Amino acid sequence: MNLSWLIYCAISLLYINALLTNICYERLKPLHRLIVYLCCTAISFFMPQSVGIWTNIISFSLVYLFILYLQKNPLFNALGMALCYILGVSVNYIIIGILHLLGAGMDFLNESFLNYFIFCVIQACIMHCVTYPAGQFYRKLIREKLIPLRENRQKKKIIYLISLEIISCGLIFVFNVVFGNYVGYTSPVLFFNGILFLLFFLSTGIIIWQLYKSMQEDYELRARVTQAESLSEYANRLENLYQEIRGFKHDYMNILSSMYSYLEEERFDELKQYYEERLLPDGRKLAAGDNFIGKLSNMKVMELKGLLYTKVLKAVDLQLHITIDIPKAVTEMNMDTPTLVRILGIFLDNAIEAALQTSEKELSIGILCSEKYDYIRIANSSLPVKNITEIFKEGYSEKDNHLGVGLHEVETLLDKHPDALLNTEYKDGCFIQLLQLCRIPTQ
Amino acid sequence: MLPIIICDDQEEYRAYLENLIKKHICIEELDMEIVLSTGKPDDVLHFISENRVPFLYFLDVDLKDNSCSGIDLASQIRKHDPRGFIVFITVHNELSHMTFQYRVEAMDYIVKDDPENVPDRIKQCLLHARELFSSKNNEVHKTIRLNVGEKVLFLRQEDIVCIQASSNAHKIRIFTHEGIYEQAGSLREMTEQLDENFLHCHKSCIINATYIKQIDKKRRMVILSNGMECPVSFRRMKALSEA
Repeated sequence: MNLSWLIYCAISLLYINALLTNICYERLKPLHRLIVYLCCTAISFFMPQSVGIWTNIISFSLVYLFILYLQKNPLFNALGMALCYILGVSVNYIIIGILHLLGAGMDFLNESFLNYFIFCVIQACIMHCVTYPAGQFYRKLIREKLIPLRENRQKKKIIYLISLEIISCGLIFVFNVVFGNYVGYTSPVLFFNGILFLLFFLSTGIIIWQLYKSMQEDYELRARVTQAESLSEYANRLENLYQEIRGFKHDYMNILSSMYSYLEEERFDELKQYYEERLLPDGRKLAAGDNFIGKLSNMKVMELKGLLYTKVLKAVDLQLHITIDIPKAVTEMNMDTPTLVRILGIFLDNAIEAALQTSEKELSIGILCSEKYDYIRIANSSLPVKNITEIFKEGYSEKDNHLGVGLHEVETLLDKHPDALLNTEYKDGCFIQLLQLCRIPTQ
Repeated sequence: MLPIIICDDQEEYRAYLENLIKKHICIEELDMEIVLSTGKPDDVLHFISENRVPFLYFLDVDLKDNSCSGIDLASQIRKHDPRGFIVFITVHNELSHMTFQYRVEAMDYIVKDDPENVPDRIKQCLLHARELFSSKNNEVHKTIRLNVGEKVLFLRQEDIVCIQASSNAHKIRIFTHEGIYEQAGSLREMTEQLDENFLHCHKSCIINATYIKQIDKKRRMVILSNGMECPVSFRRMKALSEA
């Protein structure tokens, strides 16, 4: 009796790995899969029949805790398990549905042990075939879409929305199966419910996807608007500068004539005084003023110009000492502009933040395009960086005064560009990011 | 000996530079000598094509008499003397770190209109050039080549903590205590340059054995002194734990 019950449990649970462990944050090792399988078998073997429906819930929770212990990442693993479960149950419904269509039904399974065994094996195989590639896809999705999304505060909420959707769907499925059985729904009813829920969730899924897309568009639109604003402000400043220079031109003749009168009358001491008190400060003011505006004129890529202008203005307001070095006209850079704007924005924000904490308050921006390479160099005075290898890690910024915000996103973005190489250095109180974009593709 | 070439078309300033350089060579007992001092870029190019490189150059950025600017001259010099040391003499509003560093790989620059600092800067340049020159002649430290755009830097092997392959692209990352340097290439190409201190412990990772802090046999990880964790392949784990 006991032995046959054990075998029954073991066979019934063949599918459990496909159902719970194929979609994880990281792929699970075979040994851990075996542990999951054996534990689940043991649980359903030892649990008294009276516990009944709770067996599944207990097993699921234990498996989840086990995966959590191995991999951390509660959210992505919970999502993965819920997804896996939904997929698994759908597959189960489809198989049972097909059996019904063939006229076999549940009776067929209860007929003989062999029938049941074959059914379980085939079901486990099909589930694996479905959930395994789904797991690969899920991991890729996390790496490429969800993690970069999480770095962005505004887009973060879409992750919560997706999570809510998937987890509630998973829970409803669990309740449908577990309590449905308990209440005494017949399997056609369960099956029918399942299909209805699945359709419902598919449709809400599509709605969320559309929401995400329109959010993305909105985000881009807003970025474009701010860029246009900063460019028009740039134009305004440029005009003011021109007015100032015109004013100076006008004064210039007056100055010359007054100087001439001093010279004519050989009042050299007064001339000296006039020079020191009137001319020198004026000249200095003119030189020091909106100097950086002119220095940005070599940047011909409008999006980048807008970004640089906004950030430089912010840095000026914060009284940083800024050096801008764009010696030659930059008409294009070897990277798609939105990505580059994102990366540069992160670098500049970090540089400004870090420079503010120092007494030197230095910020230097250099961009150069040569025949083979584009170089972008952002340097700033910085307090000692304790461990430079840490700053690109996910979640580093949350620990240390918001230093290095978004660097993890930079890394993910750059991983897709084999022609972009980044050097990060901290030397003698100076933190440097040097991005090199190769114009000739590397072999 | 490291020979010095000066090119500046303002006679007085050139004489001033010559004087300063000679004085410092004398005071610091440097093994250097001014071999050419001229106002014409062509003289410089002619001279270096007939003599043994490298040289230490002091070049005026703004050469007025010719169509050839100091930057153009430096680019020409680089063709003959790729490892020479170039110092630019410039005025403040022509100063461009990006041009100096990445277009012609200048060693340093001196700002003319900052007169009180000029002597000191020249001294620094001479000392720096001597240091670089002597380290090129007798390499005490083993190094690896590092490409920064068109520039080649040398990184001391003893400073390298580990080298990892990047997850997606054909790139590797070299970690030192001071920086992270990305390079195009593969780990295998890197191994050829490295000495016996380095262990190719996993297909995605090379570590410097001197920086191993701890070996976690259970998780098959090596923990390095900068806190990084690197995976170790099954085969290497054995060798590592025996060593």
